[in-house]
Amino acid sequence: MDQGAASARAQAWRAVAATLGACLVVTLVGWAALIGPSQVFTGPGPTPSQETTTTSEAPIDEVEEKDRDDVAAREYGPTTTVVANLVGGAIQVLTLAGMLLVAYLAVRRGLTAWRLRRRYDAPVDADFETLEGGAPERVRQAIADDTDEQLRLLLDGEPRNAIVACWHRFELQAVDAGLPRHPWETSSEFALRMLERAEVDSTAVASLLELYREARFSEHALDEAHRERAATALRAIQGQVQVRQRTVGREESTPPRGRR
Amino acid sequence: MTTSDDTTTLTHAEAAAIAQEVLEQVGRAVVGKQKPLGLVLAAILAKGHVLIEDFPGLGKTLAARTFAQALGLDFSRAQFTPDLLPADLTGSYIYDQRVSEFSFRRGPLFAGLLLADEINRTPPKTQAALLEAMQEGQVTVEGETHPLPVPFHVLATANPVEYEGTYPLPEAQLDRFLLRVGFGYPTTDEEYAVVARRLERQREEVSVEAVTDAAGVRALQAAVERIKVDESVGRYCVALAEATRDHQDVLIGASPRGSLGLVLAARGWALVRGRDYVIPEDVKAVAGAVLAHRITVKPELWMTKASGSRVVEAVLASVPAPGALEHR
Repeated sequence: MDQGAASARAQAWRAVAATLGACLVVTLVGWAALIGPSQVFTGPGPTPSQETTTTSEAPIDEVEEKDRDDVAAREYGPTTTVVANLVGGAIQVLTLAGMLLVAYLAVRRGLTAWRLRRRYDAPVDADFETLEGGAPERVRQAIADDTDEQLRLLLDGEPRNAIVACWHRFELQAVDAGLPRHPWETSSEFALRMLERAEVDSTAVASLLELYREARFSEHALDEAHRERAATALRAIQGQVQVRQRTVGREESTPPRGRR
Repeated sequence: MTTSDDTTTLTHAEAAAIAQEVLEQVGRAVVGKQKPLGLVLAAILAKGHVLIEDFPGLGKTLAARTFAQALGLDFSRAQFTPDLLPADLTGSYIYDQRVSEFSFRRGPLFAGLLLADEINRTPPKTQAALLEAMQEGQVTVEGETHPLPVPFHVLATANPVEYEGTYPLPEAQLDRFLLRVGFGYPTTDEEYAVVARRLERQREEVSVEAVTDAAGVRALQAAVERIKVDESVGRYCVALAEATRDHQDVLIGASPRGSLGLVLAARGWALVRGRDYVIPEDVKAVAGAVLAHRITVKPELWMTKASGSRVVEAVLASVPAPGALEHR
């Protein structure tokens, strides 16, 4: 998860760098374009035509001379200058507009990248929190500490409410063990996750879960027989937790063999 | 066969057993894919239509035909081509020279289960001809309305990759499908099982036994109607559909028909799972298939991985689920 977030962040930065680079290149190109054509159109103009008018050493064919004069006249005529200025101005305006557009797109892309980066950050924290709390021993300890109260809730009052209250007790135990329920998790999903963490046999859990679902979501009539089944399942779960606690405790107290 | 008063009442245990038997029969022909097949059955039991969207060769058509056989429904198949006309589906009036009048010849729509193969290859005109049939259970030809048999269900298939020469279904049409499911590729072992079964069978076609018939399907659907939905679960469905509308990637979220579809499909799924009440996990199981195709993602996100399914995943991971202590 951490790696995913890091790579997402790297990707986001790479996108920002790429757009900035592209922006710089476009700016340079635009600047060159602004300098180049404007001098061509507004400068003194090409010299060869002037030479032809002043040189008398090499007599040139009459027709050709006339043509060149025409060309020169066209290049320096007032209409030509106006057109040249207009075209130059238009190019300048277009280039400026292009640069503004690129800058706008770059900023927008950057914002999107920033938004995505933040979105990938959120789950990392949540997962980190989950891994922190809820170690198996703590979960087992929380269940063991609450044994009597949970059983008392199950044997007390109307069977339907008693079964639901008993199942809800797992949630409270998990909070004690530092394993809170996500709001989007259903109670069954959460309790299953927690009991899995405590390494409890799934048969008893499935039996109790089925009774909880029936009590919570169905309109079936629930009686003492249901309560009895729930109590059997709960005692089995609690018994397994205690056994598991003892075996784990013993494993920890005896040093592993084969190691010096 | 189309009358509905022959419906017998089934207990939920009997109905669940029949549903399991149907899935078992379908599983004999289609290897693996328990979840999508269960979803398709849940949709049929919830009186809905299903769009199966996946690549060619993944068993879409086979699944549809096998469902028709196992449910004992009349099956017809319409290959949707660019030149298909509405009358090719609904049927049309043909002049009968013997009696000197026009008589109605029924099209493939008049079946218990219609397989609309490659539905996105036909122009909207013909796609729209399905709308009335799917929503109202009737077709109108030349001003005269003909009721369709009950049950009538459409299993449509579409190929999600080829866009050349296709007409993507408009949102209004997509909304008519209760579920959109994808089959996905089989695992290596499943794929070998497909090959092995074909070799063992020594012929191409595969047939399964009919578990029930049209009247039986109606009884199953009646059993689904009796399934209880706790208020907290119903509100959870509404909250999920509502949350798709507020998601940042979404242009148009799921309509109220989406929340209704969620409850109905969850009931079908609960029956398939053998319960006569809906739990929040049923809703979560069907949410992707029910909501993803009803969500239009913002067009500027086309290059990102944003999609309807991702929105549904995000919504499922944010909307508070019903807790233990909210009982009546």
